[in-house]
Amino acid sequence: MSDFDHITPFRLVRTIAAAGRGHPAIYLLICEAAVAKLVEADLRVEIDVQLDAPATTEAISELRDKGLPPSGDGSVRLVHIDQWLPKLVDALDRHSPFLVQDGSQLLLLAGDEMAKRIIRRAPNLRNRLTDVFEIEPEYLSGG
Amino acid sequence: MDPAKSPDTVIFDRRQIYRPFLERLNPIALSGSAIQRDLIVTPKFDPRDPEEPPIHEAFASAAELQTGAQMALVGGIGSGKTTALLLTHDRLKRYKDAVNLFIDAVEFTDFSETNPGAMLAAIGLRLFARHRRLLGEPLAPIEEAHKKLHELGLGKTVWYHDEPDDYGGDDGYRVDIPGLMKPRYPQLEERVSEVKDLLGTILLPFLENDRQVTVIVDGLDRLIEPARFREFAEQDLRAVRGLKLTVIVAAPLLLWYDKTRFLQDYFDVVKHIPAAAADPQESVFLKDILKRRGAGQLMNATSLNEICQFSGGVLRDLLALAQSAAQYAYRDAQDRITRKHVQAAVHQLGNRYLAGLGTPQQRLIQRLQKDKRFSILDSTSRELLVNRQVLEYSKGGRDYFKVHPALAEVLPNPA
Repeated sequence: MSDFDHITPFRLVRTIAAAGRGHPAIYLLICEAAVAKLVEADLRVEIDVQLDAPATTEAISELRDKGLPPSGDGSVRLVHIDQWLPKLVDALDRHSPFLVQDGSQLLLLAGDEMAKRIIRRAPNLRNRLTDVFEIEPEYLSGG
Repeated sequence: MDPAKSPDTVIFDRRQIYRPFLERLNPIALSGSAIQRDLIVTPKFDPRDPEEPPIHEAFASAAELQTGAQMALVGGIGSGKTTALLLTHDRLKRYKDAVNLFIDAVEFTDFSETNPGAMLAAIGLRLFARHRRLLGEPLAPIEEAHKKLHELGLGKTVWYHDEPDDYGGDDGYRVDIPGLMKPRYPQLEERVSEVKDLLGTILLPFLENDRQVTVIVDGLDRLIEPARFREFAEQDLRAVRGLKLTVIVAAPLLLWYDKTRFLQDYFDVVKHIPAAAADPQESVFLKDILKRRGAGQLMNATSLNEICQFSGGVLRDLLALAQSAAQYAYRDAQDRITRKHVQAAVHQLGNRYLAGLGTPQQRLIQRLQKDKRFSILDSTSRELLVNRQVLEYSKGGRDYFKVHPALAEVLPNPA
């Protein structure tokens, strides 16, 4: 496991809410595959309750042909990096700030090894990440 | 009625403490808005030489005095290149006859392949858009050049009634027989020459009206590999030489260390932004940046100094650390940022730099820490420099390297 701080969906969305909607942010969230669906579900609920904003969920394996265009609809975008696609990671590296320049938030969800590969391959993206956390569902957090 | 919910009760909202601060710090936000909101601390001198004017002043003066000059700005990720270019853009506005274009490379390339001529097309299209406003209705040849440039740059759709004929008569075909001499720069590709001529046509009325035209191109430094950048320079930049069009570009850091001295030979002016200060902890510049964004109201001098120190002088890391510390304080339900929050932010940043570091990289880092030895010649070292795990500093004209202090903080002890 990584040494990044742990966070729960509630606390993460609370942080986003503190900065305010319209404050562009890109988070890399490290999450074990076994609980990824639970984390996704928790995030969607928190985004709905705390931000009153729509959330879209996409898997990178489904985006391979169409890339990752900016959403432009003000939604919080949750992208599950479930497959290693170097070209898409390169594109993220070069264009990440433009994906959120409309003030939206991009949450990249990846397993531990995948997250390390992304960080290693994409220095521009790493430098522009708002933060990196290990995220776990509420029921595991003991909080 | 519950007194806590009476209309007169002022509900304390901690978000209002941190939200404006976070808004002023966001390292993802585009630098242009930071300049408009007067959040930028303008450097007072060249970061490599305190006797020289700041980079934006040097670039602006050169653009004003040497029409057609080509200039490059080199620096690592997050070093403040975009800000320096935007300050240059801002400075150039001091003369009314100046026509200044600021173009991000994403306007003309997705970087997945080299597309020579694309930058020229983007410049031509942007320049044409200024024509009507600055010079009135364009003449027919300029309209025509714009139409062709638009087609070349953005493509066109052609409808055929029949399949195009592959065997279109005996028009002959072209065979290029290489000569003995190898030119220093490769020949301009045919389409680049064509785009150059069209750009020249669009540019002409500006020059005839004594307009000083400067194009600033940001983002080409994302072509991290020097060879890829050179392809651009050898085609697009060389094509505009002689057109009296001044160009300032951001170039990848590794070119600064390129043995062929391509940058120095190719560009008229080259500037390098190293990490911001030889001793970040003492840097007034770094502290001023944080204070301008409101850090003085939320943390004491010790915390402010620590953020400066652990940023390593990388401007984007400076903002990221302050932002992260503020978020820790908020999640901790505290009204001020304390040392504990700064340390947590430093560890987070350090872990980002640590993630993915293999044994060979760690060995080089340990050698740099222990023996102060670091050679830019091997690929692993270059990777560490590009990835900002190792930072380049400059003092008294001498370059030297140090491990990013946030990374140094989390590095495991050598076995």
